[in-house]
Amino acid sequence: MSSNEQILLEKSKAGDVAAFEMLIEAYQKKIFNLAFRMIGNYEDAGDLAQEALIRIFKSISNFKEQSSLSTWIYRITTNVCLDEIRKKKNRKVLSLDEEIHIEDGDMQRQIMSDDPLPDELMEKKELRQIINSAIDSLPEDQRLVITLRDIQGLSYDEIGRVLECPAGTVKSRINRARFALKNVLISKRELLNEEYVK
Amino acid sequence: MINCKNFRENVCAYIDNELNIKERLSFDEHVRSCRECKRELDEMTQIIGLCTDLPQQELPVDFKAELHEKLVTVADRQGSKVISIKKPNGFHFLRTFATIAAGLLLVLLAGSFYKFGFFSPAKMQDSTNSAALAMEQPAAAKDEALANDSGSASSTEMGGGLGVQAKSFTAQAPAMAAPTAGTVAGADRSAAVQNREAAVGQLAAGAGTETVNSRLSTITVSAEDPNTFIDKIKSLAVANNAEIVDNQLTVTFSESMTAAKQANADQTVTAADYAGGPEQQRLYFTMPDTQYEQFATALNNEFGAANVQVGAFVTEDMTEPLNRAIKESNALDNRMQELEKEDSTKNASKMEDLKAQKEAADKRIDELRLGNDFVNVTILVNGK
Repeated sequence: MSSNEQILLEKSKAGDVAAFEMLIEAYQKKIFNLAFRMIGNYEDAGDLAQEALIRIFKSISNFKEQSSLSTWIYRITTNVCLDEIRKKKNRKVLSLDEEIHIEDGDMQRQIMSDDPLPDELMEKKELRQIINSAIDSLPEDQRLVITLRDIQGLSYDEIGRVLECPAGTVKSRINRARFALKNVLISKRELLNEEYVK
Repeated sequence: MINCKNFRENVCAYIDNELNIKERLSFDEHVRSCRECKRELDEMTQIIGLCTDLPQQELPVDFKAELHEKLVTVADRQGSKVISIKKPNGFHFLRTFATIAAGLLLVLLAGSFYKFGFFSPAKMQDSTNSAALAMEQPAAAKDEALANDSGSASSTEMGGGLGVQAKSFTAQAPAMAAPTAGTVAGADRSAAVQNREAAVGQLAAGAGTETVNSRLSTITVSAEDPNTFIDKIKSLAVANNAEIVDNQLTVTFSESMTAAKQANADQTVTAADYAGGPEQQRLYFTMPDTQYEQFATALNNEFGAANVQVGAFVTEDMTEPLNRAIKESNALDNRMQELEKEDSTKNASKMEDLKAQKEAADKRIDELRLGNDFVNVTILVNGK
């Protein structure tokens, strides 16, 4: 930690908002992107990232500096995201294929598929969409390790410190997550190929 | 030993460069000899590449503003100190600083008097009271200690590298026996205040003179994008206990642009027209001089030495204006005392008038005296 960061940290601990804002300047975008990856939409990610930053501000006076500041910030953000996902799971979710009652009788809800057309597949934007939705479809623990590793660029050791688990556990979790991601992508490709054949 | 069985367990760690050398060599060896595992490795490398290539999302436009409001609310609720950049409203901040320093001085004086046996145990109650009074500002005192520590740490490394002139403390008050200076946080400032107080005492007795200075420093920063840099500079300034006085945007036309503008006097100048001309922003603030060198170092670190030019202090002797203000204040005091002896009902409005004038004069005195401990800094941010 640079001496400047140390001074800002001390001031933040004393409740200095301006110092805190400077201290977190470099982390805000990372926090937002972690939240975005975990929650899957832009608006909620903003709220969630702010909630994480407020929680960081509230508890910074208790930060014992036993881990690095970035590890501690990631840990709080991760916890805030997982809490929110758990809360969301408990809420009633509208099922995509539930029946809609209309005057002429019942009909099946139909949702337009977001999947790109095969001839556009090679375009980078479309490819990104596929990867994004594939990551979104993973269970949250797998989504989390993939995000921390691939999007945030943390080492296995750093991820272990954030998640408070051994590096060996991180290794096997990342492995599981990547193979799961690969399976999702393969099934998407097969689905697309079938549609193309029709 | 890597084989087809444990290949899958290690393929991700291999790509992530998280295997040790022995495992890595073994992995390489297996992949060379097994076509199936090589295909799996290539596929996985491709998938990981796609993930790491995903672009980062930009923060929502109003993210920082919303967050700031929430943070201020939380800080208020927690009863902690909130520093916000605001337009000046007199020298409120500076006065608060002086009050805290004066409180510390009381503690120091009480301590030294006790040490030299001026206080009998029965009189100790008094000094305990002053100590308690001063301790009402623990957070601020802690801040000051922090600021002073880092200030003195950076002063040696600055040593002329930035061309910062030596600080000119010209408060020429007769030296008082320094109480345990150096052992208490903020001792520098306390000593300065102490000198000042002593000088004031002497002035009142007509036995000495007090010298005050006003110091101005100009720092020039060259920036790719002055708009984003100005926020960083503000934050650095606030982190160094500065009070932002004002900032204004000055757009300077390039010569060719000025000529073009004159030629088409009727034409509306659009934002795009500014693109050719260098843009300059100015930021003014006052800062405790103990923080100044640290602030200059921070600017250097943030923007690079090549982009930061720290000018020498311009010192203006403000002793005469101070003496005039003191004389004026004393004269107003006398007139108010005379008025009080007369029928007060008749002179109520006159009295109010005098009071306001005296307050203004006293405020001016405070500001001038604080000039010894604070630097007026002008930052020029030039577009590249």
